[in-house]
Order: sequence, then structure tokens, then C-alpha cells
Amino acid sequence: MKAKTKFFDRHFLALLLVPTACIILLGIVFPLLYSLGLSLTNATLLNFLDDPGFIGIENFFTVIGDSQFANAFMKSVTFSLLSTGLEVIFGFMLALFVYSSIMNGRFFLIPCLLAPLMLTPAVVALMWKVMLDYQFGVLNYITESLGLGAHAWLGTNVLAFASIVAADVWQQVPFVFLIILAGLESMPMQPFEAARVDGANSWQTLRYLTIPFLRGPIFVAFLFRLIDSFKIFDKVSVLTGGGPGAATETLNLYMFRIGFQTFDFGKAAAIGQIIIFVIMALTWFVFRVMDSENAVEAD
Amino acid sequence: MSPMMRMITRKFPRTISKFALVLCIVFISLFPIAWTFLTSVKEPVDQFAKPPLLIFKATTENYHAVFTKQPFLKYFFDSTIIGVASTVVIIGFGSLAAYSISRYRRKGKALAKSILILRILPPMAIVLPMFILFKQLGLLDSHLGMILLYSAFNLPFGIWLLIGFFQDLPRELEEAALVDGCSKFQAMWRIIFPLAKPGLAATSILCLIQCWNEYLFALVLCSFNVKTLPIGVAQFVQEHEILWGQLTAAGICIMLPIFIFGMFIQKHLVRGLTTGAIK
Repeated sequence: MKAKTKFFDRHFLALLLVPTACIILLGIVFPLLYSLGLSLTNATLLNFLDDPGFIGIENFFTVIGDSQFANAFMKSVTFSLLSTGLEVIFGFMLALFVYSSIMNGRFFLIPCLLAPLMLTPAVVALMWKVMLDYQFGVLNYITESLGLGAHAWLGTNVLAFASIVAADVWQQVPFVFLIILAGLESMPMQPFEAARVDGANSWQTLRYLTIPFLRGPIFVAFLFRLIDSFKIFDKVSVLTGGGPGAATETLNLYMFRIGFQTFDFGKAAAIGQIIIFVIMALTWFVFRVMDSENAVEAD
Repeated sequence: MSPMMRMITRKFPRTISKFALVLCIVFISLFPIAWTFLTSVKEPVDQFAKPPLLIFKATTENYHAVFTKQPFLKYFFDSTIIGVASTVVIIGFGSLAAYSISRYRRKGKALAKSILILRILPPMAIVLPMFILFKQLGLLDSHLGMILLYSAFNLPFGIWLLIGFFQDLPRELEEAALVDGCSKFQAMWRIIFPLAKPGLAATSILCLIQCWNEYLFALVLCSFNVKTLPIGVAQFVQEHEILWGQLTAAGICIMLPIFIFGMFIQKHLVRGLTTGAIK
């Protein structure tokens, strides 16, 4: 009995990790390895239960040579960069505005900004679909009464793409805002006072003090949004379904179509590996930035 | 002019423009939600009126229809049961793991990093193998399957949040308890966990929202027996695109619990929503 308690006490912290480690190994790591194996076979809906044939990395060649893959990859990259860029710009401006000039109104303003961030993405898509409707949507009413004419927001290539970007930006600007606001609030005051004494104008203060101080938070927010927008599926799927044509078919929608509409499991798994690769590469950057931030703090 | 008056006239334009800008921000961020709500309480005739009506006779008919003519009550039930059960599993195992990681001195950082990697993992990457595994295990389209999957996939998210909350509690607390003759387990269970209650509550709610909002897994792995709200609403959009009243009413019903829970944990919400990005 005594030996047992001793063992329990000595390895206490490690033992607490055991159940979680089991769940993660079974529920995440094993499926990942399974999917890696699957990407090397010619599995489809018909043969996946009885030993599909091993075909090496052929799936990867097929996928990379596929013009639809190239289209989807480009759509994903464009979507991620465009929406993330806009989110960071708007989020930064918003944070700067709130930090520098809103004192009493925050308790009211911040909950209003948080509301979109919590919403179910499928519901966000539904809301935008109702607003963007060609015949009865409120947006077309506004553009018409401004003399800009009605547009098929979800029906033409460029506008449909712009619409999903707009829906994503609307929902995610608050995320960037919160991170940058936290960064602003943790800035030291002395350099700013020194700048004021030295007669720096507000543009100079922003350019040479605020932005350099916020480099870390801005970059982290940028990378996190980039990763998340690369994973987007639900909003696009409900809002446009990838259409018109393949104008908004991002990598995830493409993989979904190959995997669950044409049921080409091997090929879909290969696309999955490519998605993981891109996201892990971006994650590596996140760690680099976080580590260098820590190093700066430690100095 | 009195100095008071002078100050007011000088400051006035700035205050006004600031106020206008705030109104503009609030308008942009709340308009789509407000519009959805307005559409949900309009009669069909008013929904499609041009110009859009701001004054109209409100009706609860759409809400009634969502729950009687459409199977949304069933979707609500499925979403709730899957969300609550997954959250219980996540908090149960995740709190132990998070406590452990927050108490390791050197290994803690590497462990936390691997949790973050798992948290970032794209759901698209494991939905395909999950489909095949579930098919073989007979877990497709079952509550149990969804609960297991959500527990596993959201566990890193929960742990990541909880690590932060446990790190806020100083180690000296347990060290004092150990000196007083507690076992390590007692020190954790009787001293730390009660103090971490607010953090545990906030994490539970955020996990619940995470499960509530999830789309891809539910779309692929469920069909007839089990259907969660996001899938229900997405299908509704595809099948009855023109039933705007019911569509928007369903949307509002999905949002409502999120907003109510969100209000309870407002203090922790910012941290939860930006998790991973702020240490």
C-alpha cells in the first residue's frame, strides 16, 4: 500500500496526462496516420473496406497536376491573404481608435463588437444570404437607391468572392481588434511621454513608436487569422457552395467534393495532407514569432 | 464667453465626430444581426416589401413554425446533448492534463506547444479517416460517435484555455498544502480546483459554444438519426431558400443561447475568443 502511494505521488503530474494522451492518440493521432496511409492507396467508396491497393505517391501527382486543384489552391491563398489583410488593417484602426479616444464607452462598445465573433458561421452565412438576395435583399435596395444599380452578389465570380470575404471580415475584425487592443494596453508609457516632450507629432509617434511596439501582436493576429481563414469551410459552403462555377471553391471545398461527392478517398486524403502541410508551415512561423517575443521580454 | 463655454465649443466638433464614428461601428457590427431579427418577426408580405419596412406588425408565427412544422426541436435536442456531453468529457480529462502541464517546470512549455499544434489542426484533415473508421465501428450517425469525436477534437482547445487559468494560481498554494500534510492529489483537488472554478466555468461555456457552432464533422458523419443545428439550418437554406421568416427565426434561435451564455462569462470571453494568440 505504501509503495503504491509513493509511486502515485512521485509520478503524479505524469499520471494526470495519461487519459488525455490516450484520447489524443486514439482520436487525433491515429486518424492522422490513417489518413496518411490512405493517401497512398487508390481507395474509393467501393473498395475502402476490403484492402484498397497501394499506389505510392501517385495521388499526389494526380492532385497537383489537376487544374481544379490549382484553382482551389489559388482561391484559398487569395481568400486567406485578402480577408486576413483587411481584418488586420480594420482591426488595427479600430483598436487604435478605441484605445486613444474611447474611455467611458468601452463597456458598451466591446460587447457589440464581440457579438459577431461568437456567432455560428453557418448562421452568419444565412444572414448574409438573406441580405445579399438579388430580388429582395436589403443590400440591393441600398445600392439601387444610391443609384448604383442592383447586383447579383452571389451570382457573379468576382462579387461572390468579394461577398465571402466581406462576410468573413465582418465576423473576424473583432478578433484582431481584441489582440491589438491588448497589445496597446500593455505598452509602456515613458517612451510616449518622451516623444511628446521632444515634440513628435502624432504621425511620427504612430510610425516610430506604436507600430514597432505592436509588431508582435499584429504579426500573431495576422498568422492566426491566416491559418483560420485557410481552414474555412462552413461559411463558404452555405453562402455560395463554391459557386458560381468554381469561383469560390477553396481548398477545403475542393477536398470535400473529391472525398464526399465523387468519393475518391485516396485522392481526397492526399489533398488533406497538402492542407496539413500548409497549416503546419504557418504554425511554425507562429512559434518563431512567439519565441522571439519571449526572448525580447526576457532581455 | 466663460471658460466653460469656450471649452465646450472647442471640444464639441471632436466629440460629435467621435460619437458618429462609434455609432457607425456599432451599426456595422450589429446591423446583420438586427436585420435577421427583424425579418424573423415579419409576415411574408412585409419581408419582401420594397422599400424594406421598419414599422410593421410583428408576429411570432415564424418561430412557431420553426418548432412545429420543421424538426428544429429535434436538432436543438441533438445539439444540446452532444454539446453538453462533450463538454463534460473535455473538462473532466482536460482539467487534469492542464493542471499537470501548468505545474511542470521545464517540460511544460513543450507540452503546451504540442497542445497548440493539435488545437490548430484543420478538421478537414481528420474528417475523412473518421468517416471510414466510424463506418467500420458502426458509429456513423450516432450521438455516441459525435460525442467521442467532439471530445477528442476540442480537448486541445479546452486544455489550452485551462492552462492559462491554472497558471494564474501560484504554486505556493499547493506547496503550503503539501507542507501541511496533504497528498499531491488532495492539494490539487481541495485547494486548486475550487479556486479555478471561474476558469473551469468559462472554459466549459466556450467548449459548449465550440461544439454548438461546429459544422464539418456534423455534416459528414451524421444524416438521419442525428442532426445538429448548424446542419439543420444549412439544409433549410438549400431546400427552402424563400422561407425567409422561418430561416431567420431558426438563425435567431441558434444565436440566443450563445449570447445568453456569453453574457455570463463576459469577463473571460475576450481571453477565450482570442485563445492561443494571447498568452
